[in-house]
Amino acid sequence: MNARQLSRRKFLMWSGAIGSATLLAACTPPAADVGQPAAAEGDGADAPAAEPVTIVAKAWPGSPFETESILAAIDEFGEAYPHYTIDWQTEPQAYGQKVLTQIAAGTPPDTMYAGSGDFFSWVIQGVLLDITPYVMDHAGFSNPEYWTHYEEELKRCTWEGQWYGLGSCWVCPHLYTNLDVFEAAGIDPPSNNPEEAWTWDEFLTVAKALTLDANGRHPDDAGFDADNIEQHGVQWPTWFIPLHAAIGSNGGRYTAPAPDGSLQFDSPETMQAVQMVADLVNVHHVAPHGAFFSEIGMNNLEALGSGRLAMIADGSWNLLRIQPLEFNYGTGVLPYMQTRYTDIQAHNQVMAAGGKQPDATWEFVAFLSGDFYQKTMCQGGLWLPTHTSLATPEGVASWLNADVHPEGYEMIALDYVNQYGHTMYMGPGFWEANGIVSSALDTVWIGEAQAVDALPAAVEEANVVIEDWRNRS
Amino acid sequence: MMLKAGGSRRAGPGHSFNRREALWGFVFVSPILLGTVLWFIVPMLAAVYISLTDWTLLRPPNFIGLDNFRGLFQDRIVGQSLKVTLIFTAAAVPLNLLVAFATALLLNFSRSRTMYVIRVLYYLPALVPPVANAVLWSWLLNTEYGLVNWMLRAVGLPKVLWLQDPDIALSALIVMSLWGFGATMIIFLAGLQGIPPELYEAAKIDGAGSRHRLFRITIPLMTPVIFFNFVINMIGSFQVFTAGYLITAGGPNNSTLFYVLHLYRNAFEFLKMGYASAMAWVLFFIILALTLVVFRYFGRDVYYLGS
Repeated sequence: MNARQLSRRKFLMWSGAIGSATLLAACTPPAADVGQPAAAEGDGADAPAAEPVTIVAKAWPGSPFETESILAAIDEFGEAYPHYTIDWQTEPQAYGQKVLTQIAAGTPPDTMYAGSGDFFSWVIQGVLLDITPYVMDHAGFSNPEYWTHYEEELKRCTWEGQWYGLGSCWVCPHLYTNLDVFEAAGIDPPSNNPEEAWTWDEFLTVAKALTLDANGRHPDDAGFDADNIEQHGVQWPTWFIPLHAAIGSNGGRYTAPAPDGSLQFDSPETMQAVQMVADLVNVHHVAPHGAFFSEIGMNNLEALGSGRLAMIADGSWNLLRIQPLEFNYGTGVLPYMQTRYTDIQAHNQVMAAGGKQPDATWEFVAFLSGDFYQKTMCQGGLWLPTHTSLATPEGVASWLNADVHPEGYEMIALDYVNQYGHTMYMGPGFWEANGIVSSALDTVWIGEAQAVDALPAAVEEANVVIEDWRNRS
Repeated sequence: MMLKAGGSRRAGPGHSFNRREALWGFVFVSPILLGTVLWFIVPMLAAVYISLTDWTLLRPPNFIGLDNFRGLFQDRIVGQSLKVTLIFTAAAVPLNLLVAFATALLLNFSRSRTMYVIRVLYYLPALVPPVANAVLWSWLLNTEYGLVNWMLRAVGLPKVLWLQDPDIALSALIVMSLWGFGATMIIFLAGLQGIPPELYEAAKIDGAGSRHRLFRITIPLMTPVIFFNFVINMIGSFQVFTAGYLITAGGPNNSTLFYVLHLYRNAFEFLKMGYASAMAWVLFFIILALTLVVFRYFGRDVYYLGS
C-alpha cells in the first residue's frame, strides 16, 4: 500500500507535467501535408471507386429550406456514390474571411461557395483551382447550349478564358407588388413580360398614385403631408444589386468590365440614375427613407404584406421569404430609365487550388451543378434556372410552383434574365472601394447632397484602391 | 528557510535540488511562457515584417518599405476610426470609473449577507461574454421593440434611433460599455476594503464628516487602484471591437468605426495584411505613448500607503 501511495508533491508535479503536456499538444498545429496544389488533370487514382472519400464543403448557412435542399441533394448524390461522405460545413459569420484564413493556413475545404463579389478576387489571387479540364470533359457543361445565358455564364465563371467555378443559378431583382393595394386603387399591376415593362415615368406615375398621406392625399396634391405618409408607392433598396439594375437601365455602369473593375459612379448616366433613385424618396416622396423600416419595426417584405408599401424592387430569391407571409402578392419586371435591364448574378461553386483530391471533389461539384439540385432550389423560389433543360416547357413545369411563383413568372425567370440580365464585374478591392462610395451615396440617399456633387471625389478615392490592386495583380 | 531545511534532507548537494526545483517550476509555467512567446511575441515580431510588405494573406509578400505607414497617415478612414476611438475612450473610461467607484463605495457600506448578494448581482454582467452582451444590447436598443424606447414611450418621450442615427450611435455604444463596469468595481471594492479602518476611526474622533473622510482618506488611499483601473480601462477601450462589429458594423456613416474594427476589415475583408499590421503597430505606439503620458502626469499624484 505504502509503495503505491503518491506524495502530494509528486502528485502535483505529475499532474502539472501532464497538464502542461496536454496543453502544449493541443496548441500544436496539425502536421498534415497541406498547401500542395494538386494537378487539375488526374487519372482518378486519388479516389478509387471503392475507397471511402470525405469531401469537405464550405458554405454560408441558408434558410431551413436551403438546408433541407442541400441535405436532399447530398442524399441523392450518396445513392450514386455510396463511398462518399460529404462534410457540409457552414459559417454563419464572416464567411469569406474564414474560408480565406483556412486557405492561407494550408487547410482549404475541397469545395465551397464563392460569392459573386469575391470570386474574381479569389481567382486572381490564386485561391481557386482552374477547372477548365473538368468542364471541357463534361458533356453538358462544355456545351454552350447547356446554358440558358452562355455569354453571361462565361463572364461570371471564367478568367482569361479559363473556368474557375460553376454558377449555381441566376437571381435578379424585379418588382414585388401587393395586389390588393393595386386593386383598391384601380391600377393595373406591372407585368412579368419584359416587353411590357414600364418606363421610369410610367412607374413614377403609378408610384405617386399609390402613395397616400394620413389624409388620403397623393404627393402631387395640394396639402400633401410628406411627414405622415401612410402608404408608400415603392421601395427601391440602394445596395449594389438593385442599384446596379437602375444604373444599367439608364445606360450607365456600376463598374467597368473585367479586368478594369473601377467604379463608374462619376459617369453622367450613373450619377443621373443614382439621383433618380434618391429622388423617389426626397423629391417625389413615393419611397420611404432609410430608417423607415426600423421605425415601423418591419422589414420591407412585411411592410409590403401589410400594405404600408405597394411595390418593392428586390431580389428574386425573396419569393422564398414572401410566400409564407400569405398575402396577395404579384411580381413584375423592373421599370427602365433608358433601356430594359436587370442585374443577374449568384454564387459560384468552386474548388480550392490546394485541395488534395480534385478528381473526387469534381464528382460532387458536377452533381451539385446538375439539374437535381438546381430544380429543388427553383421550386422553393430561391433560385432561377441556368440550364436549358429547365427552360423547356417540360423543364419549366418541373420547377414552376403555383404555391410560390405568381402566374407568368417564367417570363421573369427566363425571358427577362436571358434577354436583359447582365452580370457585373467585381474584382479585387471592390468591397473596400464600394464602401468608400457608399458613404458618399448615403448623403445622396438622405437628400443632403446631389449625386453630381457627392460622387466624383468619392469615386476618385475609391478607384485608387482598385488601381492599387490592379497594379499588384 | 524552507529551502534550506528541504535541501538538508536530500542526499545530493543543495544546488542540484534547486536546479530540479527550478526545472519543475519551468515545467509548470511552460504553458504560459510558450503561449506568450508563440501567440504574442512571435506574432508581434512577424507583424513588424508584415507591415513592411503588401501581403494579401494568399500571395507571397513583397517588401514595400514604409509605404503602408505612409499610406496610413493619408487615409481619411483611418483618421475617422481614430477619432471614433478617441471619443469613445474619452467618454467611456471616465464614466466607467465614476460609476464603478460610486457603486463600490455604496456596496462597501455594510458587510451584511444582503450586501454580498447585491455585490454578486452587480458583478454578474461583467461575466456575460462580449458577444452575448452585444446581442442583448442590440435588442434593448431596437427602435421599435427595444426596452429602452419602450421606457421612453412610457414616460411620453419620442423614440430614439439609437443605432441608426449617426449622431447617436456612438453614444449608445458608450452607454452600453458601462454595462460591464462590474470588473472595475470589484477591484475598487477590494481596494476600499484594504483601507485600514483605524484611519476612519481616528478621523471620526477628530470630528471629520463623511465628505471629509471620502476626500481626505478614501480617495487619496484609493489613488493607486484608481490609477490602475484608469490605465487598464484606457488600454482596453482603445481596443474595443465587438460592439462596433456586431451591432452597428461600423455604421451608420462610419460613426462607430472603431480603429480595431477598421484594422480587422483591412486584414480579413480587404486582404491588406501589411496595411493592417502597420495599423496594429501604430495603435501599439499610440497606446504606449498615452500610457507614458498618463504615468508621467497622473502617476505622480498616486499615493502609496507606507511609501
